[in-house]
Amino acid sequence: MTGLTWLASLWRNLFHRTRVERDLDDELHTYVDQLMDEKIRGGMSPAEARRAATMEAGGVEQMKEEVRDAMVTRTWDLLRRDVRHAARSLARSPGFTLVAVLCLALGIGANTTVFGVVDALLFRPPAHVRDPGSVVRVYFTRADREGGYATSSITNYPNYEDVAGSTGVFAQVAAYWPTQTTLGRGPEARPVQASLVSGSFFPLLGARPLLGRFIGPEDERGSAGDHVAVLSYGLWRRAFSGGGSPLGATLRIGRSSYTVIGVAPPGFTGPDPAPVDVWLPVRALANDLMGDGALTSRNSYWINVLGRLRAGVAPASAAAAATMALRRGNAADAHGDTSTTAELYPINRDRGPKMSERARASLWVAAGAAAVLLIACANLAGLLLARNAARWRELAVRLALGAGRSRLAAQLLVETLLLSAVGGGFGVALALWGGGALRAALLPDIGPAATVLSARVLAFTAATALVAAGLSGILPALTAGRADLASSLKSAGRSHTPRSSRGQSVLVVAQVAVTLVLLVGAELFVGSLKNLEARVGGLAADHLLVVTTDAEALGLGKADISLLYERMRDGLKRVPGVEDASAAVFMPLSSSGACCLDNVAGLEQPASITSGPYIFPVGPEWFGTAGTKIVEGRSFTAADRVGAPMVAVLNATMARAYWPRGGAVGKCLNLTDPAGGAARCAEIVGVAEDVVRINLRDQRDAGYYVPLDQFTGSYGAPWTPSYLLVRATGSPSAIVSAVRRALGDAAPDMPDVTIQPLEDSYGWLQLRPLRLGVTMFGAFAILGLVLAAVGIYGLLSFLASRRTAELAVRMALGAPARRVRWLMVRQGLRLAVVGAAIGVLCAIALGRALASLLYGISPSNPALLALAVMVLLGIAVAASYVPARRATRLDPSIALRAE
Amino acid sequence: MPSKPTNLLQGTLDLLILRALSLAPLHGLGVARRVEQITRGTFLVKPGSLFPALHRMEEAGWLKSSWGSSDNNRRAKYYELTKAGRAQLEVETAEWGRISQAIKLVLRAT
Repeated sequence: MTGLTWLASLWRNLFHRTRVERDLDDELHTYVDQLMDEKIRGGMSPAEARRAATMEAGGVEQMKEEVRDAMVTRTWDLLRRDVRHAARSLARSPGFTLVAVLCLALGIGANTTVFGVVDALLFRPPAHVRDPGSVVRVYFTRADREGGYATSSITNYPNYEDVAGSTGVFAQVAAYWPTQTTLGRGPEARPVQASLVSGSFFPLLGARPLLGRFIGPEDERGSAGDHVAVLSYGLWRRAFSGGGSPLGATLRIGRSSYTVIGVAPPGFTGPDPAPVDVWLPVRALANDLMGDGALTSRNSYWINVLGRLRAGVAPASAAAAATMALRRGNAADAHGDTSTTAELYPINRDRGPKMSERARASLWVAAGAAAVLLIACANLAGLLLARNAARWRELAVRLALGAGRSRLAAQLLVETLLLSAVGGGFGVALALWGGGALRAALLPDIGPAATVLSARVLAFTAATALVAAGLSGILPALTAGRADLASSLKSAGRSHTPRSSRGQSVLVVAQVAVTLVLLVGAELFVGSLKNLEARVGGLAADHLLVVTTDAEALGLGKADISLLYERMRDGLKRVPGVEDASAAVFMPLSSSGACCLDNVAGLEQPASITSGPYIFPVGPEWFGTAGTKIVEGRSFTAADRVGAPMVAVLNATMARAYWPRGGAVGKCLNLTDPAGGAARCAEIVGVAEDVVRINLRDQRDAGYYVPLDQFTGSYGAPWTPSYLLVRATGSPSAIVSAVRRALGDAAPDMPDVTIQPLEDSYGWLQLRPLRLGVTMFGAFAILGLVLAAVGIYGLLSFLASRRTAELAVRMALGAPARRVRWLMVRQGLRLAVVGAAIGVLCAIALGRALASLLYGISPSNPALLALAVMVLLGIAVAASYVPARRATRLDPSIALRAE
Repeated sequence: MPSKPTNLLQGTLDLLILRALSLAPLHGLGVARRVEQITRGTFLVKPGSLFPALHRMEEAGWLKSSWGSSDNNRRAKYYELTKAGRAQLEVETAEWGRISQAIKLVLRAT
C-alpha cells in the first residue's frame, strides 16, 4: 500500500468516522436488498426473500466487524481502547499517578524552560530577518600587544568600507553599533537603547517596516548623513501614547534632534537578541559619539560588520576575499595593521569564535535539566516496576486469559505515554509560569521575543515527553510480560519476592549518582560566584548608581565643567536616599580606563605587572562614596585643589608591586605634564584597597588615583569627568527617577544622561552566567534530592511491604526494633553509597570540562565533594528511616495473621 | 495494521476480484455474481470475505469506489480498478501462472 493512500484512508477513518461508518452500513444494506431483489425475481414472496437474503448474508453487524478488522483503523481502535484502559487504571491509583505526573512535569518543565533560553541564544535566528542562513557576522583577527592574536567582532569604520567593497562575494555589507543614549532633555529625559546603523543595514536584514520607511543608503548622502530615526514598536507605543502617527515627529536623542521616518515591526531587534529602542544612521552620529575622525581613523575600533553572502558563495571564499580587501585597505594607511584576517560566523552572536560565557553556561544548565529529567525517568521507572509487581496477579490473569505479551507491553507503554503527556502539559505550564520570570531576572538582555512559548519550544517539549515515556516505560513494559504464569498465580501474591527489585535498585543508584553530580555542580557555581564577587573588591556595589554624562557636548571650559559637576553633586546630595556622590573620569566595571607608565616618569615596571598602572582621576568624595577603604595614609580632601601640592593615592597592588618592602606613602610619583613641561612630583599620600578595573577574571591591575581638580590630562587631551558615582542608603534602583530629576534641574542642557545601578554595568554582567548556573543548578540539585529521596523511600516502602512477614517473624523472635530498622536503613544506605561513589567520579570528570566557567574552585576539592556526599547520604538515611519505622511499628501477630 | 498471512485462498480471491472488475465497474453483489459466472459456479464468494477484501484492496489503492444506482434503482457502491489495480492484476496473473504451472508439474510427476 502506498503511504499516501494509507494516510488518506487513516484521515478519512479518524476524522470522518461517522461518514465511513454510514457508507459501510449503506453498502451492506444495499447488498442484502439486492440479494432480496434477486430472490423475488426468482419467484419468492417478499417475506421469504427477505428471510433468505438475511440468512445468506449472515448479519450486517458481523460483516461490518469483519470489514473493520481488515482496515487500517483497527490499530487506532486498539490504541483508543488502550488509552481508555490506561486512563481508568491510572485513575484507580491517584497517589501513584500524582507522583508520576509531578516527576515528569518537573523534569519536562525544567527542560522546556532551559530550551527556551538555549534556543534563543544559539539556534533561533533573530526575528524578521530574511534568509538568516546567508547572513554572516564578520570577525577580525589581529596581532595583539602581547605577540599573540586576538579575534574581535568590532573594527574601525574604514575596515567596514573595505569589506563592503568585496561585492563579488557579498550581496550586501552593513555596519552597526549598539549604544545607550538619552531621549529628551532635562527631567523628562529617559535612557534608550540605540543602534547606529549603516544605510545598508535594513536592506541587508530584509525586514519590512510597520510604518513609514527604514533608514536606507539615501540617508547617507551628504557629508554627515541625515538626522533621521526609526523607532522600535515598543518605543513608538510608549512615546506616542500608543497609537499616534510618529512619522515626521522630531525627537531629541543624545546631542541632536532626529526626524522619525519609520517604525519597526514588533519583535524586531536587529541581528542581536537584546532589545533596541531606536535606530539612527551611523554617519550622522559617529563623530559625536566616538570623537572626530571616527569614520576615517583606522585606530578606533568600535563597529560591528554583517554581510549577506551572494548565492552560491562559500563562507570560506568570502572570508578570503574580505581578508584581501582588509589588508589592501590597511596597507594604504600608515597605522594600518596588515595582519588582519576576516572570519565569518553565523548571525547568532553567541555562536561567534568563542562561544559566549552565557551560552556555555546555558548549555551546562541544559545538561543539568537533562540530568533532572533522567532522575525523574529513573524515578518513574522505579515506580512503574513497583506498580507492576504489586499488580502481578492482574497481569498474570490477563496473560492467562490470552492477552499477548506484546499487547500487554503495549498497554503498559500507553499508560506511560499518557502519564508523560499529562506531565508534559503541566511541564509547559511550569515553564510558562517560572520560565518567563527566570529569564527576565537572569538574562534580561535576551529580549521579550524569547519569553513567548513558540512552536519550536512546544515541539521540543513533545519530543522530551516522548523520550521521557520511552526511558521510563521500556524496562517496566518489557519485564511485565515475563511472568511465569503458573507460579505467580499459585503464589497468590504471598511472600512473592519479585525479580524486579534488582532493577529498582539499579535505578535508585543511578538517581543518587546523577543527583550527586548536580549537587557538586551547584556547589561549584556557588563557590565561583562567591569568589568572583569578592574580586570586585572595595565597592559597595549593591548601593551604587552610575550616572554617565556627556559634559563634553556642552563645549564648556575646564573651570565651568568643574562648577557644573559641583552643582550636580549638590543637587544629588539633596535627593532623599542619596548618601553621597562623586565625579570621576573613569568608572570601575564600566570603562576600561587609561594606562600606562607613559605618564609616570622614572619608575621601572616590575615583572609581576603585565599591564598598567592605570590612572583614575576622582573627586575628593570618591573613596567614601565607592566604599573603598584607605589602608594606609590618607584619602583626598577638599584642600587638594589646583595650586596645592600635587598628591596621589595608590591602589594596594601598585604599592605592593613597586614598593615591595613597603613605605610607598611619602614617596614621589613623577607625573609627566601633557603640555610638555617637566615631570612633577605628586606625593603619595595614601594606599587604597584594590578595586577591579573592568574584567572580573583578569589579574589585578596596578593603579593610582589623582584628585580630579589637580588632574590636567593625558595623551594631549584634557579629560573631563563623564561619570558620577552615587551611593544610595537603600536600593539604588529605587532612587533612579529622583536622581534623574535632580540632574535635570542642575544641568538642564546636558544632552545624554544614563543612570543605572552598578550591578547592571558591563563588568558586573560577567557574573550573570554564574548566577544563572547558581540558580538553575541549585534548583536542579534540590529537585534531584527530592526525587532521589522519593525513589529511595518508594523502593524501601515496597521492599518493606514485601518483607512484612519476615520482619514480623524477626520481631516475634525477639529482635529489637532498632536492629530491624537498621536492617532496612542499611539497605537504602548501601544503594546511596554506591550511587554517591559513582557520582563522585562523574562529578570530577564533568567538573574538569566546566572549569572555564569556574573561578578559584576545583571540582576535585575534597571538602566540596564530602559535603555533597554527606548531604546525599543524610537524605538517603532519612528517606529509608520512614518506611523502616513504619515496618517495625506493626504488631507482629497482626502482620503474620494478615498473610 | 494487522494483516492476516496471505495464503493461497486469499491471494486467489484478490485475483478473482481484480479479474471480475477488469471489464467494468461493479457493486459488491455484482462482483460476487461475476466471479460465480466466470468460474461457472466453482467459487461462491461469501459477503463475509468479499467486503473485507474490497475495502482492503481499496485502502491499498487498487480499487476506487463511487456511489451509483443499480438496476433496481437502488443506491449501490460501485468499485473499479485503478491504474495500480491493473498493474496488480498483471502481477497476480503472472504469479498465479507460475503457481499453476508448478502444481501441474507436481501432478504430472506422480
